Amino acid sequence: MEREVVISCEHLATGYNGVTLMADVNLQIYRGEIVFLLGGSGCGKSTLLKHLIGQVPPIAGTIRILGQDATATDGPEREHLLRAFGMMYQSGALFGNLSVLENVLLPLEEFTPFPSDVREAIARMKLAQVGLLERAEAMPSELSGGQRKRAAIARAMALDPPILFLDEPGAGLDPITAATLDALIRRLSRELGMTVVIISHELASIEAIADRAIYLDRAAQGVLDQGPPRYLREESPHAVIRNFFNRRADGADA
Amino acid sequence: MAKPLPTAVVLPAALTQKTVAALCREGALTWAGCSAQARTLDCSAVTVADGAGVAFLWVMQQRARANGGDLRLEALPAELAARLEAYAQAQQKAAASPEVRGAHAPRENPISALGRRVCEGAAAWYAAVAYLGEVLCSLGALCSRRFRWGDCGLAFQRCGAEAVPVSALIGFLLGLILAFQSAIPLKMFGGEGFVGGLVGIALVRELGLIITAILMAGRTGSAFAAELGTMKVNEEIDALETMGLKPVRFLALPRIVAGTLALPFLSLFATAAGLLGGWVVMAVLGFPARYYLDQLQAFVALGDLLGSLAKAFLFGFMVSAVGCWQGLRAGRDAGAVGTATTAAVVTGIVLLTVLEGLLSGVFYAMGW
Repeated sequence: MEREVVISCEHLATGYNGVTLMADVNLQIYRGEIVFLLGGSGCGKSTLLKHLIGQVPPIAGTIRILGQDATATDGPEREHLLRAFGMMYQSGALFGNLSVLENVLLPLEEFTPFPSDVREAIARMKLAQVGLLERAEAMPSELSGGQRKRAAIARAMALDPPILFLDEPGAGLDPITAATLDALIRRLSRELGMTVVIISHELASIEAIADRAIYLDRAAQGVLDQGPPRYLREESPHAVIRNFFNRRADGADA
Repeated sequence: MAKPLPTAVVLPAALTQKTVAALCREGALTWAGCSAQARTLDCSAVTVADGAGVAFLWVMQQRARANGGDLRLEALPAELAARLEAYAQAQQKAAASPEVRGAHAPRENPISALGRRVCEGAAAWYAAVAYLGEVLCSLGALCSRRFRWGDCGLAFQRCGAEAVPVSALIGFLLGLILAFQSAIPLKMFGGEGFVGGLVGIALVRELGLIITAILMAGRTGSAFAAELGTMKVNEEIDALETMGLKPVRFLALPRIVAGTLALPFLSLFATAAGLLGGWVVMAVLGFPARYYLDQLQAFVALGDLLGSLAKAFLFGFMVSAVGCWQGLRAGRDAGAVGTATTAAVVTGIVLLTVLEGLLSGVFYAMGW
């Protein structure tokens, strides 16, 4: 079965301020899958994500999102592209002067022509999906860390983008909350057919919900190996990846 | 509306943002809400719906119900029905949760509001006095090798050396303006020769200092407040406290020392530049430089300069201490840093004016 490619990077050199982190990244992400971007600390995962969302232009190479060139950082095409994905930042990045509901309403107010009761129903439904409806009127400062992340996911999904980028959604959460978040991501991807790209080191999350993981490595200057988590853990030819999945420090016996 | 409204509407196959927007434009929502009679929404064609689609169905029902009507969703796909049902349940659950019910806090009665305000005000004053005491007590740390001279030097460079050009420029223009404006009335009495004396006294005794102190409140007090306020937001100040280090000694003191030492210098630069401005005007009016210098010597005493320098130390201390204070007591979000910065500048300038008024009175009474 031919699957539709929604994100593709070809010969992408990642880095900023002229410093190259990885010289040759080639990867493809298909519609509807949950993909984790992995790699040792400091290998440039977050930088790659910034290239993907167009916040920092890459040093060289091409990125195509839904078939459209995504390396441009402004212009009308960029505007169109921004609507194609939602982004959840590591810390949530909720606007502190707006309530949770207003945070989710903001993109709807700016980009949709709906009357206010429809907009509010959309926003409240998103909050219900992340289990935060009863906190809709709260200010972000009154939320716990996990609630902030869930509210940020609701905001990222407000316009029903086909692609969702999540930066460390599970970091700093207790296992139960993290598992709830995983279940939410899984449900959104299955129900709405969203493509979800996640940066995370949480092995439990990867095992639980990843369709595929892509391991980035600085020494390899790009993608070292990719595949379903089971394959990476047990069959990957690279010891570093097997160690990563089995939580072994380098040099420990195999 | 001219033509009678249909009792049934057929929805398209895809209920997405685009089609929902079109339906809204065509007045579907008004249709749902404008009559009490029973209506049907034919959903048999619908195969996919995004968030906007489901919300649209929900709002259609709500609007119909609000007007006492009834909107039947005919042949609604099971998956959509489940999503609507899930939302209805979530809403019921949310309405029953204590967090929502507690959100509407009862209104405070005016007397207890007044009392709370007074107590808060008193607590703020208490905290301010405590802070001042802590700053003064920690001055002893100046002699210890643990005093952070590096931070102090950096702060001195930022609030002192880097402020010299702007202080000198403002001082120069102040001198120029003062001389020109005073020349007009003095000319009526044939006394334009005394412009030099007037400019000299005004600048050396008061204006050179006040203008630089206000400049410092705007430039440095705000910077200190924003810097420390941001550190507070980032929990850096909490980290210091947990390490057992006092934020006042560690963060505020180096900045306060730098500000206290910088203002006298800045004031001197501004005053000198102002006197230069006065000389330019005198030259334009046709007086030789020698005459201007004689005037200054006759009117301005060394004591005037020393008195103003002494005040400069005090004002420098006050402005930078207020800046650090507002930063340290800032709240924990982006807006709070802005509030702290504003408070630093406003409090700094107000205190400056009050202190200057008091000191003028004292200096006058003492005959200085």
